[in-house]
Amino acid sequence: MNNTLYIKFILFVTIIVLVPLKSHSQFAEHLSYTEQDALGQFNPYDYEIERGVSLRFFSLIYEPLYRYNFDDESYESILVESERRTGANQYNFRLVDATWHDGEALTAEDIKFTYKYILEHGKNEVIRNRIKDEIANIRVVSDKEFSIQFTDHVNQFRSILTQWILPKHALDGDSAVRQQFARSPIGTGPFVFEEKGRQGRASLTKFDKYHSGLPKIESISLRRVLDTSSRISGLLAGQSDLLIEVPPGRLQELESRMMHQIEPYLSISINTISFNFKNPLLEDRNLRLAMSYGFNRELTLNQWYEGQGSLISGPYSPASSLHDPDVRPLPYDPDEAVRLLNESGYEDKNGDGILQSPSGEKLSFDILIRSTVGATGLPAQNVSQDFVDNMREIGIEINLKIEFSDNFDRVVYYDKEFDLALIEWTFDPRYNVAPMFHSDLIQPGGRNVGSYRNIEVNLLFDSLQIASQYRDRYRIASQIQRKLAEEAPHIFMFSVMKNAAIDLRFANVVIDPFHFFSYINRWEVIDD
Amino acid sequence: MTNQLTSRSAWIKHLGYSVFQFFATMVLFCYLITFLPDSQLLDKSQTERFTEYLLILLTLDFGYSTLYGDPIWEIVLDSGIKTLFLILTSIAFIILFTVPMSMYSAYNNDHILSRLLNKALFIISSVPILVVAIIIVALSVSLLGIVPEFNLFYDGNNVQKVAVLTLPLFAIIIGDGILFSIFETLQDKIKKIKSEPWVKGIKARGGNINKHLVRGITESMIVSVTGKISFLISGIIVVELVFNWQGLGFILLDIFSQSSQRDYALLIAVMALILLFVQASGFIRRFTIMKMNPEKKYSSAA
Repeated sequence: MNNTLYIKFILFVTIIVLVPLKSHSQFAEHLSYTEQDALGQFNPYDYEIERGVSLRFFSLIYEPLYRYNFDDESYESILVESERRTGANQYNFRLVDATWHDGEALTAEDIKFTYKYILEHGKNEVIRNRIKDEIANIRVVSDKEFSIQFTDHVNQFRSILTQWILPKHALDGDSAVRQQFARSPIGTGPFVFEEKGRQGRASLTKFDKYHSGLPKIESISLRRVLDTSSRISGLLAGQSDLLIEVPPGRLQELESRMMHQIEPYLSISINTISFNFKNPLLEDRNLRLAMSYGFNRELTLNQWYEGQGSLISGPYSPASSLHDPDVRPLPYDPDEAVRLLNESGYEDKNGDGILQSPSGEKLSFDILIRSTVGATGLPAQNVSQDFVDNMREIGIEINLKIEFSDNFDRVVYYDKEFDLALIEWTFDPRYNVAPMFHSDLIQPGGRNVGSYRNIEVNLLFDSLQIASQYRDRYRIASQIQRKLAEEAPHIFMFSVMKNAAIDLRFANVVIDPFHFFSYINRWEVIDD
Repeated sequence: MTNQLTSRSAWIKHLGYSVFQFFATMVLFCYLITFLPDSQLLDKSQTERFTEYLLILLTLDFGYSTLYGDPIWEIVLDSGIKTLFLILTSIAFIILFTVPMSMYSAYNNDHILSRLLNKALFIISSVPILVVAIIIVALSVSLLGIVPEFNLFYDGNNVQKVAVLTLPLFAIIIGDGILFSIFETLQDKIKKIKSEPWVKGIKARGGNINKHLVRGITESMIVSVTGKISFLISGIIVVELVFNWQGLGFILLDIFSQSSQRDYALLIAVMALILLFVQASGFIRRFTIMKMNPEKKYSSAA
C-alpha cells in the first residue's frame, strides 16, 4: 500500500513537472532576442560612451528628430513634420502629432528641454560638445513649433538633430526624478517599456498610439546571455528568435541548419593597425607602406572572418556615403614591400633575418591588442598573429602585447605608449573621421592616437567641415582618401560585414547598421 | 553560571574577531582595487580612490550601479539569493548523498561494492568543475533540447525550469571535489566512532550507538562543509558563468569584463557579501565545534 502511494506521488509530481507551459519565445508575434552585455539604465544621456546594447534598446523606445537612412544615404524626418528656413542659419520646425508612452502629447517644449538637458546633464562629451558648438539657441514658437538658430559653421543641420528626444514632463526635476526616469523610461518610439527584470532582462510591448505605422510585432523581450555559444545554442533550441551578431566562425553552421534567415548588414566600423609617430622609425612613409604591402589582409579576412567583409583603402567603410571605390586597397605584394624597404636603406646586417635601419636600429616593434574575456577577442588575436608572421617574412620583427580593455584604452588613448595598435573604429551615422587624423585634435583620450600630423590633410578636413553640398563633400572626402592611402598613417585592413540570424517567421527584416531596430515597424510576422 | 559567562565572553570575542577580520579584509580589498587601471578614473589619485571606496564601505551607501542601472542593494540582494540558493541546496544534496554512502562504506569496508563506490567517487570528484558543467550543458542540449541558462526560469516551461534549477547543482556536487572529501571524512569518522572502546562497551551491553553516531556525523559534517565554503564558492562562480546565473560570481566577472565604467561600488558590495558568507560559515563552524564537541567546549570556556 505504501509503495502504491509512493508510486502515485512520483507520477503526480512527474506529470506536474512535465506539463509544458507555452514559453514566451513560442508566441508568434513575440520577438525574443539576446545580448551579451548588461543593459544598464535607460537615460540615453547618462552614458559617457555609446554602448551597442543600449543603442539597440533605445531605438525601440525613443525617437530623434531626424535619423540617417543608410539605404537612401540621407537624413529622414522622424518627429519633424515640416521645416523651413527663416533666416541665416535659422530654421523653423513643426512636429508630427506624436504621443509619449504615458499619453501626453509631444510638444516643442520637449525639444528645447532635451537639448538643454544634454548640455546640463549629458555625460557623453562628444554629444555635448556637438550641441554646444552647433546650436546657438532653441526657441519655442508654439506647442508644435520651434525654431533653432545654428552657429555659423553649420551645414547639413539635419545631421545635428539626431539625438533621442526626452519628455520634459517626466524628467524635469531633481536627481530623484532623473533616477526614476532612468529606471522606467518614456519615449515616443514604437514600443513601450514594460519592465526590467533581474538577470538583465527587459520587456516591451507595442505602442498602440505610435504615430508612424504600427509594428506587427506585439511584444519584445531581451535576455542577457553572457556566453556566445549559449546564445547560439539558445537560438537553435528556439529559446530566442534573434541573434544580433553571428560570430563569423559560426555562420556556416547556422546557414546549413536552415532554421533561421541570415540577414547581413553593413558595418560602420573599420579595423586598422595604427602607427605611433612618436617612434621615429615609423615616421618613414616607405616603412609604413611596406608593412601595408607585406600584410596579406585578404587571407586574414577570409580565414578569421569567413570572408564576411571587404578590404578598405582608407577610413571610410563601404557603408559610408563618402566612400570612394576608385581608391583601391593596397594589394598584398611582399616584393613591393621589400623594394620599399631597400629604397629606405634597411638591411639585414647581422644575418638574423631582421632588418636594421641605416643608423643601426633593429626593425622591431610591439603591436598592442585589446584582450577581452571569453572568445570574443580571438579573431583580433589571430589577425595579429598573421601580421607577426607576414612581417617576419619581410624582415620586420613584431612582438604581440595583449592588454586588458581598460589598460589598452589608457596606453593607446591617453599615454600613447605603443608602436602599433590593432583597433576597431566604430562611427556614428555622421561618420566623422577627422578626429583620427586632424593634428588639432591630438589630445588625451582623442582618436588621433598615433599623433599623425599633415597640414594638407588638416586643410582637407576643414574644407569638408564647411562644405554643404553632398557633391562637394564627396569630392573632398575622396581627396582625403587618396592622401591617406599615400601617407598610410594606419594599415587600413578591412571592414567586417555583420550578420544577424532571425527566426523564419519574421519577414521584411530591415536592419539599421547603427541602431539595429530603427525600422522594426516594417518587420512582418508570418502567421503559421 | 561562571561557565556560562565565560562561554558568553568567548562568543563575544569570536564575534568581535569576525567583525574585525571582515573589515580588515574589506579595507585591504578597497586598497588593492585602487591599483586596477580604469580609463574613467584617470583624473583621480590612488589616495582619492581609496578614500572614496572606504566611504562607500563605511556608509554602506552604494548608490546605483553604473553597470546595471539599478540600486546596488537590490542587485546584490537578488544575486546573493541566487548564490545562497546554490550554496545551500548543493550542501543539502551533498549531505543527502554522502551520509548513506559513507555509512554503507564504513559498515561494509571490505565489500567490493564499497571499494567500487570509493573509487568511483574519487574519479568523479577529480574531474574539474568547468569540464563537468560543460558536459552537463552539452548533454542537456543534445538529450533535452534545452540550453540550461537561467533566463528559462522566468519564461520557460516547467521542464526547462526544473532543468535550470537542478543541472547547475549536479555540476557543483559532482565537479567540486567536495563530495568525495566529505564522504571520506564521514567514513573515517564512522569507522573511528565504531572502533572507540566505549562504543564497543555500549554494544557489548546491548545498547544503541545510533545517538553517538548521529552526533559524531553531524559535527564532522558541519565542520567539514563549513570549512569548504570558500572552495564551494569558487566552484559556484564557474557554474554561474556556464549556466548564466546572475549570482555574485557572475557579477564579479561582469564588472571586470567591462571596458569602461567599471562599477567599483558594486564590486565592493559583492565582495562584502561573499566575505560575509565565508565569515558566517566560519562562525557556524566554531559554534558547532563548541556546542557539539564537549572537549573543545570546556577548553574554550576555561
